[in-house]
Amino acid sequence: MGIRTCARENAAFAELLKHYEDPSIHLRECRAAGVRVVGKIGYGVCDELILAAGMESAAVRPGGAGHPLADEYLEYAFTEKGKYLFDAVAGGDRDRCPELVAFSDSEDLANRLYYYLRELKRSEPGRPVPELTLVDWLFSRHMTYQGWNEKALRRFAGRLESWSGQPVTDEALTEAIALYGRQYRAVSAILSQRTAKAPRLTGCEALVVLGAKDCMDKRRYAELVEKLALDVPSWPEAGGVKLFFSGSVQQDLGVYEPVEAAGFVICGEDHDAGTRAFERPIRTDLEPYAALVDSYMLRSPSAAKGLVKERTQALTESVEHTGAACVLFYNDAYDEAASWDHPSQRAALTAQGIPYAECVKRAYPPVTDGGFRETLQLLKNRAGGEYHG
Amino acid sequence: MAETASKAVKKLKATAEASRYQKEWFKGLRARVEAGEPFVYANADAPMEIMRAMDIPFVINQWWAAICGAKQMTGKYYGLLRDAGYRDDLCSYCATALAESFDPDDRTAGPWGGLPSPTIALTRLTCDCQGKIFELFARRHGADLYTLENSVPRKLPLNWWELDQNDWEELYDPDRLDLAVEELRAFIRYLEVKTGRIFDINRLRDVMHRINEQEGWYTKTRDLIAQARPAPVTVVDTINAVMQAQWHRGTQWAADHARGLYEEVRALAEEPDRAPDPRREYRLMWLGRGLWHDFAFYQNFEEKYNARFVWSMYLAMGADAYIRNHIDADPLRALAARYIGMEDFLHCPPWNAQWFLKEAKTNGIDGVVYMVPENCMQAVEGSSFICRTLENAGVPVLKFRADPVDARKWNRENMTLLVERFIEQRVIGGK
Repeated sequence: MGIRTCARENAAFAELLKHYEDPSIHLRECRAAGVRVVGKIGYGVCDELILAAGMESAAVRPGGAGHPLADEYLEYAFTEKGKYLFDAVAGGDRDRCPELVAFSDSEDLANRLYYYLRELKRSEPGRPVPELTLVDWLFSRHMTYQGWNEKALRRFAGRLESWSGQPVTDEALTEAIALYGRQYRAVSAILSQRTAKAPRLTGCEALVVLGAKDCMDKRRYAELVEKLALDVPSWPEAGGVKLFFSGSVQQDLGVYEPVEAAGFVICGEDHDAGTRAFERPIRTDLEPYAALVDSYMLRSPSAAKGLVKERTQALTESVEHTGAACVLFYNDAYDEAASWDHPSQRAALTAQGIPYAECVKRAYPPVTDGGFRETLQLLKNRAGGEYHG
Repeated sequence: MAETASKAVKKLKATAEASRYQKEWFKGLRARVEAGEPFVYANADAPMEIMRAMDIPFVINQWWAAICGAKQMTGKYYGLLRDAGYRDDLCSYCATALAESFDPDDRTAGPWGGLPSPTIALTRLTCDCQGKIFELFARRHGADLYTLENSVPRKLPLNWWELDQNDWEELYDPDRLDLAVEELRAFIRYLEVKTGRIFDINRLRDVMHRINEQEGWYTKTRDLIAQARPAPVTVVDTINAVMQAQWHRGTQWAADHARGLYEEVRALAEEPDRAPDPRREYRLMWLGRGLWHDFAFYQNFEEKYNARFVWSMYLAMGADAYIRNHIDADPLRALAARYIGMEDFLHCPPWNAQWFLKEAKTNGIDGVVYMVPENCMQAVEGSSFICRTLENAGVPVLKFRADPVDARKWNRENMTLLVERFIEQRVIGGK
C-alpha cells in the first residue's frame, strides 16, 4: 500500500505529491513572483481570508536536522513536533517558514508556541522571528463563542490587511470562499472513493491530497483535485484491512506508510491534517464571516477541543461511515489530551465489536520498530486480516 | 520515591486556625450536601465569587488536590485511575479528584471523609485536557459540567500589577472583558435555574468589598515580610495560611483571618528579643506550585545554611492580583477583570517573568528555586524567559522538574542535594 504506481503515474497526483514532499517549492515560487505568504500553525488559520488579502498560505511543518533553539527555550512538556516547529519559525530559514506566521489556538501546542515566539521576538529583537499573529478561536459550541469567533476573524482580516496593504473586501472573500467550494466538491468526490466498500485510495494517497493544499498555490490546487476526482474512480482497489486512525496530527507519511505496509488501508482519521478540513463546506448563503465560523468551528470535535462524550460519538460514527474494521490510537509523547478520551472510546468500540490498538507516548520522527510492528500484527489478527509486515 | 520523611514545623496560630476552620467548614459542607443543597466543584481560576454571592458551597480543585497530596493519598488514587483504564502519568494536579472518585472507600478513607458528590463541576478551558478531566469527574459524580472559555491576551504589559487594581480597562483587551461578562451572565442564569437560588448583585458587591479587605491585609503582610530581616515567617506558614483562606475569600472570616495573619507576623517581626541566627540569612523564592506532598522540604536548608524560603506566589498573588477597586459601578466587570487575568499573569510571558523579577527585587531574594511540572501543558509558562529575566538581573535560579501532588516520583534525598549544591555554589558562592 502507501502510494501506488497508479497514483505516482497520474499527472495531477504527481504534482500534488511534489509539493507535499517539498513545501519549500511553494515558498520559493511565491517569493520569486513577489507574492507574500502567510505561514500557518494550528488548524483555524483561514486560507480564504489570506487569499482575499492577496496573499498565499503555507503550513509550517516540523522537520529539519534538530531543534537547538527549542531545547534552549521550551519546557519538557512540548511535543517533539512542537520543538521542530519552534526552530522552523525562530531559525530564520525562509524556505521552511515565511516572514509572516499566523497561529490558531486550535490546540494548546500552537497557542503556547505563539506565546513563546511572541516573547522571543519582543525580548530578543535581533532574532529573525517572523511577524506573528494569532487567530483566537474559542471552540466551545455555544452561540456566545460564535460571536466571539466572528470578531476574531475580523481582527485577523485586519492584520492581514496590514501585512498585504490590501483590503479584505466582501467581494474578494466571497471569491475565495467560492474557490474553497470547488476544492471541497472535488476533494469530497476523491474521498468518497476512500470510504467506498472497495476503496480506491490509500491513506497515504489521501493524506497527500489533503495536505498538498497547504503546500501550493490554492487555485492550482483546485484545478488538480478537480482533475484527480475524475481519475481516482478508475484506480484499482486499495486492498487491506480498513483501519481508522485516531490521534496526533500527521503532516508527513512517516506513520501512515508503515501502517499501510503492514497490510492496512487507512480509510479515515480524526486529526487536523486529515479529512477534518473538508468535512463541512463553507456556506455561500451566509454572510462570509459567519460562514467561515460555521465551517471551521462546527467541524467534528478535535482531540484538543472536543469533550470525551463528543469524541466518543464522533469516533463510532466515523468508524461506521468509513467502514473501518479496526482503530489505531496513535499519540505522540506530550500530545496527551486524547488519552483522556481513550477509555470511553475503547469501551464504545468494544460494544461495537471493533478491535483497536493503542500506541501512546510515541517518538517523533516516528520510530516504527519491532514493538510497533508487533502491535500492528496483533491488531491485524484481531481484525481478521493477514499480516503483511 | 520516599514518602514524606518528616513533618513541616509551622509556627503561626493563623496557620493552625486556617486548618481548623477548614476542617470544620468541610464538615458543615458535607452536612449541607447531605441535606440536599447544591455544591460546586470548581477549578481555582473560576469565578467562585458568584457562588459565594449565591451561598452555594464550593470546593476548589487544586486546593483539594493539595489536601490529597498532603495526606499522602495520591499514590493510591493514581493507581485506581490506572486500574480504571486511564493513564496515571498525566495532569496529576488537575486529575486528583477524578482519580479519587474511583476509590470505593472514599467515604471512610478519603481526606476529611472524602469528597461529597457535587452538583456542578465548573472549569475554565485553559488547556486541552482540563475540560475532559472535569467532564469525566462530573460523569463519575452524576454532576453537570459547566465550562468557561479562556481568551488570549493581546497586550503585553510589563507592569500589570500597577494596572490591575484600578485600570483594568487599560490592562485587558476590552473585548475579552466583554466576553467574560457575557459568560458570567449566562453562568448566573444557569445557576439560578439549576439551584432555584436568586443572584443578588448587591451581595456580589459585598463579597467583592470583603475580598478587597482580605487581600489588603495580604498586601501588608507581603510587604512586611519583604522588609523584615530576618524574615519573621517562611512559606511553610504563609502558603497554608493564605491558600486555605483564599478558598473562603469573600467571607468575613477570611478577611478577619487575613488581618490576624498580618498582626501575628508583625508581632513576630517586632519582637525585641528575637534572637536572629548570627549567620547571614539567605532569602529564597519558591517558584511554581506548592510541593504539597513534602512541605517539610522547604525547611531543609534553614539549619545548615540559614537559607529560608520567604516567598511563594500564594501570598503575593493575594497582594497584587486580586484587589479590584471602584467595583460598585459594575461588579461583574470587576470580577471579570480579576479572573480572566489569572492565566495571563501566571502562565504568559512576559506578564509572569516581570512580576517575579519585581517580587524578587522587593523581597531581597538571594536565589530562586523553580519547580516546573513535567506532565502539565497548562503550567508551560515560558520558564526559560523567567529564568533569563531573573538571571540577567543577578538573581540565580535553580530549575528542576517535579510533581506538586504525585509523591511517587519524588526523591527527597536527591532533591535536597540538588538544592544544597545550588545554595553553596550560586547563592552563597555568588555573594
